[in-house]
Amino acid sequence: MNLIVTESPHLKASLTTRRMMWEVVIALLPVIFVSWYLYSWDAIRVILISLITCLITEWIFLKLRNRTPDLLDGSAVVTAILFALIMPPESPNWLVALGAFFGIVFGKQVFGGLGYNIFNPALIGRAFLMAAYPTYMTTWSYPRHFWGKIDGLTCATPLGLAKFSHVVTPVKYLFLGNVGGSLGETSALAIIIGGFYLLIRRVIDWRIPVSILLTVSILSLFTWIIAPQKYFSPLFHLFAGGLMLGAFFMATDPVTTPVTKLGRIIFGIGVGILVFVIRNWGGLPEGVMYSILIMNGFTPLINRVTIPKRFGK
Amino acid sequence: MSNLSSGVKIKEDVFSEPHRGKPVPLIPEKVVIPLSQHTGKPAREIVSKNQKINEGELIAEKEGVISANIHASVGGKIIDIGNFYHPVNKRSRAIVIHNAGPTETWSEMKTEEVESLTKDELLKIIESAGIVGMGGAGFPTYVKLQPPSEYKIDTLIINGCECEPYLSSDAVLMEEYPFQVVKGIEIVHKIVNPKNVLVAIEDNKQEAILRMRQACLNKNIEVIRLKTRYPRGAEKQLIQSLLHREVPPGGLPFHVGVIVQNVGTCYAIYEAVYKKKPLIERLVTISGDCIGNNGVYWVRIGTLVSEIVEKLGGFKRQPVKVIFGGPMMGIAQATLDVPVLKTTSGILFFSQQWVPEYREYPCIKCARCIDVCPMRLLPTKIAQAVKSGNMELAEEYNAIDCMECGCCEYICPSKIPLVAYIKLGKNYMLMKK
Repeated sequence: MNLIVTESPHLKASLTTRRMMWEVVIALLPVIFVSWYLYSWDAIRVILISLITCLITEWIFLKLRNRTPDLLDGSAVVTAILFALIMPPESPNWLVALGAFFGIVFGKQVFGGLGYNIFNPALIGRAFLMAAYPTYMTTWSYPRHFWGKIDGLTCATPLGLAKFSHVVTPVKYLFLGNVGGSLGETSALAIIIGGFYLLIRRVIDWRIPVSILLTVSILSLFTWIIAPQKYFSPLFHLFAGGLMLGAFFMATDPVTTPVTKLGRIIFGIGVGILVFVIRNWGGLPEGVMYSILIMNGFTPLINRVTIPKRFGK
Repeated sequence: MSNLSSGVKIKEDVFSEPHRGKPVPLIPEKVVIPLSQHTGKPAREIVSKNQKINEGELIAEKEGVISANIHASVGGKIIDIGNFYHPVNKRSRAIVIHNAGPTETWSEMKTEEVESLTKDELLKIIESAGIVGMGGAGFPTYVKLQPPSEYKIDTLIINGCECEPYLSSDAVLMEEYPFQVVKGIEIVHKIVNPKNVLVAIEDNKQEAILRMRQACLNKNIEVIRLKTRYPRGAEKQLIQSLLHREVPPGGLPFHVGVIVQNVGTCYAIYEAVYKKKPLIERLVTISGDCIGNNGVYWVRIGTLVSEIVEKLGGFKRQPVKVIFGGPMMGIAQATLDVPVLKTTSGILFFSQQWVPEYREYPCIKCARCIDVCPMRLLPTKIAQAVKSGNMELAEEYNAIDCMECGCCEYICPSKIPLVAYIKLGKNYMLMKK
């Protein structure tokens, strides 16, 4: 009789890293659907270009590093879709490909691939484009079912409108998503559906999204009560821009966020404060990307100071 | 009562409901009794080949303080003494007895007779009966019952939480022999003399809770129901759950004023004191998806797995993994020619279906291992440190506190052999000392 001898434990839970990645893809389907509804084939085009670029880049770099490429582990697919969803709808193909390539190479592979990167690869790709091609990255097109009047060739995001023209987009439209913005960030509703799916399936920890959203809500409520003519309401802050997408899909990337429960709460509060500060007092209308990237950088430090107390000490 | 927030929930009752009712004894033709079945020094044999022996007779004497006597689990002739397979130590010196019957009948003493025994007399009986902790560790019980006198013991905890999923030996014992278990508990009570006696049982064993509550009626023993969660039955976690006390690193329960005894040990104590019967058999859970007659049986110490399988009607499905103990901490065996020990609470037989192969992925720092660790360790960090040869860092992360419960590896989505890495680090640290 041939018996297999392995070390304990002999039981393993069914959740695998690979399935976690594909769960994220499933959770993004409502967001993808809405972006297709709003921007028709532009959405599909940007997602496909990003997917192809990310997968090819991942494959080449795994080969170069002498690893068996496993594109179906899903991590590159998740990065690709997330990157596409934070691009302006009319981004040219070369821009999408360049950003996706940059994200995979400098956001992930140079650190050693899956599990070793410090910063969120999709955000690295976007941050690079933001620095290199700011015009392209801040040119927004009208969604098919725009909420307001058309008074120019290009559209502005609700945060841009608010910051530079003091036009406040009604929360209803922010919630549904028929406003200007990146492909996947505009519909809070679609993102919340996906986010709850991930929470219910226990793919992500509630601590990060809850602490981010709560921090932004509390800070904006406070300032809004003090000076309502100068500051915007908590609901506006919650549903405008990339906050929802960032809180549920970017700041919950396990690789680049703290490993302790307390650390995750600190991380979320940090992101929330930075978002609030950049939006209100910074030069840019939106700050979710930089807030998450900055807190990614703090993650090792947060981990170190939140090591749990030794049992029995 | 406090809950264990760490640990993992594991689906129980996945195999055919074990046979309930009075457990059936399995009488073997032959037993192979290892001299090392407990924590501490192996016992020293006092018999020779071809000698005739009675059931229950002493065949190996304890050597030193931390050791235990070993008795013949069947009567007959000693046919061999030599090196044989051992489920934990790979190989060990063992005494082989051919069963020539007859089985002994052990008559019960009256309660009054037992009540007249002093604490020291009781300890002597427990010592000579070769009783060791039957939850799994096998620490000699008479040593455990005598903590250093500077520690005041205020609570005696009787552990009725099955140490692992899929095992039901403790549950069956409490369901079928509650009064005997309580008699054993009372003996321990008399020896330890604590303020409180708590019997802890998990809430998936309703019947056992009921029976034990009945047996404890009008006695100063409290039966406490705990939510089922692995590793509730681990000594340190049980004390934490019940008393909110944490046993210090490297410490023992008596450091926080507690003594923990398994229900199986209490039953063995009852038998030793009331029936003068040494520890020669125990309840063993047979489970998995390979044997038709899964259940809990009285098995003589030294019975080979191969004979158990034969007695239970063979395999209905070919096993590819045979585990001594539970699925989380049990030891996979390379052969069926291994004997049941005093500490063997269960034997699991798994077919291919239960032994899937997983591809190992890089750690994605999802921290599930950290969330579930009952000792509040950082399993992935320790494993990483060991993997890169940085044993000092592993030590800094308190790898030595790990009890190898396996929760981290169970939950790991990247299927990293965390426990193996941590064990490696621990062994390195122990060797250095």
